[in-house]
Amino acid sequence: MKNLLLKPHFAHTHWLRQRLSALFLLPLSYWLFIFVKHCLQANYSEMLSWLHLPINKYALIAWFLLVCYHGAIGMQVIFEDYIPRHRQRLAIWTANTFFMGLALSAVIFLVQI
Amino acid sequence: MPHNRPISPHLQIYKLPLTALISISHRLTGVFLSVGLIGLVYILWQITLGDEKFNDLQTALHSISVQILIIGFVYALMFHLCHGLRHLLWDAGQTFSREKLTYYALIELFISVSLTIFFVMEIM
Repeated sequence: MKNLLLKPHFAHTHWLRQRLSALFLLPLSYWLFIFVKHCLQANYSEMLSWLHLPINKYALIAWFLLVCYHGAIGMQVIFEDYIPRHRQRLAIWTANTFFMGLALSAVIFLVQI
Repeated sequence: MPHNRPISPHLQIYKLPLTALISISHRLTGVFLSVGLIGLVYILWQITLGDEKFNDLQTALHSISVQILIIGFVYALMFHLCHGLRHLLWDAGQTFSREKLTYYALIELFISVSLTIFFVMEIM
């Protein structure tokens, strides 16, 4: 409680970031859907020409960045709830590195394509 | 020591209500989807490697075991999305009464299953 009073903004901003990233992810999920559909149904050149359209490419980049951000802050809350305090920092650091790595690779691959 | 104080529910005996099961599933699906992200990034990587790798990937994606994983991923995403929408509703201060909680939980399950069926039919 003392901690909450000292840092009243922390929990609130965390909550707000989780909700805002969720709101932005909602419409962007359309591109994930089309992407997965192409993975299963399109041939290579159809896939490439879809990915080369800037709107599709940037929407997918935004989706990957936001989803990694949303996942990282979500995982942080889970670790805070279930992992003993002295191991939380390492767990959260590991999760952040995992999501950062995924986001970075996704952006690099999408820019390369 | 006399046990005359109220104790917390024993999780092995206490039957979790639907709302609690859905709440923990929201977290579980979040973790499952995070792991699934590795698969999506792997797909992107294969696309950068060219025509042949993409065809190999597509063959793998059409195998039964991967198709089951894809259906699982789609359901987890639809469930996570529907429950997330309810969180947004709650944040707006709506649907907090006990009857409404269970009622909306059932609606949410129904919609997530329907959306999964729709999307799976579309992509496969």
